[in-house]
Amino acid sequence: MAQALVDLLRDTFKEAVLSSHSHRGDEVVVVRRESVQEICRFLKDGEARMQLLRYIACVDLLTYDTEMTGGGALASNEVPAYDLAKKAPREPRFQLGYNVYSVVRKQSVRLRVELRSDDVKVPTVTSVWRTADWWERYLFDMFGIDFIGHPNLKRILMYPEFQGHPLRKDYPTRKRQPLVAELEFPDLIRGPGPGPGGAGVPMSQTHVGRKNVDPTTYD
Amino acid sequence: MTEHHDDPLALEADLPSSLMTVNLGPSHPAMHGTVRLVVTLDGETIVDAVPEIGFLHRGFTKSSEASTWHQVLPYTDRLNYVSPILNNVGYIMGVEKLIGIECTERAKYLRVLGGEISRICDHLTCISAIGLELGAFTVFLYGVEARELLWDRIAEWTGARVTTSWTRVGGVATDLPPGFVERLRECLPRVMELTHEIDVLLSRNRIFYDRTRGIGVIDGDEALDWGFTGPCLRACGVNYDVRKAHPYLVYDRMDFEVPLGERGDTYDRYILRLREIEQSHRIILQCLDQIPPGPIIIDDWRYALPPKKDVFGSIEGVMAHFKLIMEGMMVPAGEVYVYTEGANGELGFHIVSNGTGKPYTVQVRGPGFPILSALPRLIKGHAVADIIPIFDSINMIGGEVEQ
Amino acid sequence: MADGRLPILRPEGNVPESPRLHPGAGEEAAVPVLLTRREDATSWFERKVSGALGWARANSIFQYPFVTACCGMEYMSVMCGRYDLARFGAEFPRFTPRQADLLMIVGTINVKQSPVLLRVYEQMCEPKWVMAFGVCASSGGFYDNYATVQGADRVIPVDVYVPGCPPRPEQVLDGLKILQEKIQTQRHALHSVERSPEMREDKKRSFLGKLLAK
Repeated sequence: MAQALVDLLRDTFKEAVLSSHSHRGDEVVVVRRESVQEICRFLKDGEARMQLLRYIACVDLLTYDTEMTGGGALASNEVPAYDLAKKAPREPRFQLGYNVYSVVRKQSVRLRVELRSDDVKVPTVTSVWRTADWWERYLFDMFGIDFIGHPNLKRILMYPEFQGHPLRKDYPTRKRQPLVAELEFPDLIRGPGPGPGGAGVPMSQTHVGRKNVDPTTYD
Repeated sequence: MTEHHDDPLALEADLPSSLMTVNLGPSHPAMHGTVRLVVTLDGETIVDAVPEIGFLHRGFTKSSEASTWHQVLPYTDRLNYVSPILNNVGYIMGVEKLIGIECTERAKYLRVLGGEISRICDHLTCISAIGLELGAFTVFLYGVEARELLWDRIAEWTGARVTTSWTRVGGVATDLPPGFVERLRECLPRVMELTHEIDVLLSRNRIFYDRTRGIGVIDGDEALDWGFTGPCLRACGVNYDVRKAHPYLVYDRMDFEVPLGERGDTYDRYILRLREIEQSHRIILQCLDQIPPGPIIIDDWRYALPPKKDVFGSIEGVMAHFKLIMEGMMVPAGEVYVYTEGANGELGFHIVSNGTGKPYTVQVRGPGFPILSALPRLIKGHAVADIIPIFDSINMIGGEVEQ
Repeated sequence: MADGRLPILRPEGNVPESPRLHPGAGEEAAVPVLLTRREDATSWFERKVSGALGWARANSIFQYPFVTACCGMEYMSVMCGRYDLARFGAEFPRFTPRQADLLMIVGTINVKQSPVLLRVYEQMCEPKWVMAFGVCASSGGFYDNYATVQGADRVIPVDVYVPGCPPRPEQVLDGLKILQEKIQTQRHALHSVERSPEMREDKKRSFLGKLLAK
């Protein structure tokens, strides 16, 4: 059933559809970035009747091969600074997935668009589904993807003073950017928190007792 | 609305006026989940509204990427914190889909049972909040008492009232305690009685009806365009319930109806939730009749913790336990989007694995996010006082909207 | 230790000395003596007034529930029929900080919300107390990431911390009881605002005024 839809897409958009596969029952069609709007319009208005844009997902593949596991506090999703500086980022870096669904036909498909790290732009699909407005704003906020033609591309969850895009893999997990100066109580002893990632070394008491702790880093 | 007269001195001439901007929230009793709404008013009528969210963004995705697969479970509880078991079930089903396994038969029934109890809690909370914020405090007290009765059952079953973290890959964490089924059968009539009381108090109440009928109307196609799912979509008449459209777990063996609304207004959304409580009640009773005996979690030690007697008694058990805890369960690489029927709509999890014991990313499709984005569309043209019933009937839960 | 506090681990390295970490050195030794003398200096009448005001303020707390997240569910339970908060006098949620005594921070405070929290706290009038309801308000909970303030006490001073995720209503009632004890034993006066020197010289105060306002 969903295979028929994939075939329809391949036949209608021969150059735009790059490949397709199925994983665990999910049909994925990799399309060219430039034809995203056209394909979405076809899916929505054509006989596929995909009226519901469920979700636009984004995956940052920067550390896909290097992220190790070690369990809990030992697990690290911090990218070592050496890797960022010296090694070339994995290309394509970002993968957008448009999960669309048809209520009448009960079919779903995922359109995948791959973006390189130096060219993080995609045409918007807000003209096709109104719900894409906020989903694209969310992706802009979290990943820094520029949606060309979006009517209101501003941050949606983070505050305007925030620098960086938090869900990118090179943004440290604990790097806070406080809006209000944090209070320091010298007689309030804070316990050692989890380490700054990596080997899971708990922070020493020196770190806790120091007054000039930088609140924007591991605190 | 107002008539314009050419003579500025005429008695009915327009007074020179300008639009007023009013800010609701973010710390506001009616903006549950901390939403800030900046409305532009012409008198009492809303001309424009701009919602601002992000006041509860807690970094669910980033924290999940730093945790093992099972350590993500407590984070999922706090997404839709009014019906946490549904979130647990949704996430674990995603992980199971990635691995390619299914949970045991009994676990399926238990998940459905827990999920439906949680769904009733969510709908009760929503209805109670609608009542509370329209001035019907008694409804709130009845609803919370009914929820307490259910939470007592959930607490003795899963160990926690609110944040359960109860499902595991391949099954569930705890089985029904002895005597649970009898106590549940005892408390359900009381819960339904309280729900009926709320129904009697509100559904044909003149004031409530006037305040909710015809308010916040949206039609089916536009709702789909805005990304509505769940009760808000079904109130418009569109029959889309994931439990019926793509049955998962044992919903295909349950006999229940999906109530549909007609006009897509606040009153329909409220009545729909009441009817859904009744349908969930039906499902619970059928579950209790049909639950088969058996194990609650699969026996595969690559994914499920071995039983304690094996952990302490055999080398394989110790090793399996160690690897599962220290490294996390190894999930084959892949990307999957799994969707279940949450209490507010389609709850989706987009999960990517790179083959290690930690998720590469877990992103949530909170059903409240697109519905909240349509809030300006729903309240435009109404009075300020209509924001409250509309916003309550949407049942936006801050945790799932802002992750 | 003699004063009942936990032993403080010696910090290694170049840590600036905080006088508070070394009680008994320097001026700190004088503090307990000062307090005692100040307590002796409080008259019987003032102690009675303080007790009465403390009783009144502790048993009629007007709360401002700054509800953000999941703890709100347990907050609803605490307010309603079963775990009735009204029995302790703290029933009425005043949804404006101007009329509230107790700021209950129910739920996670994230960085975007912290200026809002600070503003709400500053809008409250003295005397005011703050209860951190839940671990997210106490210490950030398990959200140790870019978005969450690691405890509301990094933004405003907190009087009582009620841990739990979310805390059972009984824990909240226990926290409220602790807060009530704290309020009861604090020093209350009929005039709690310090007058500036200019004002003090200007106004001629009556004998009773001087008595009450010490």
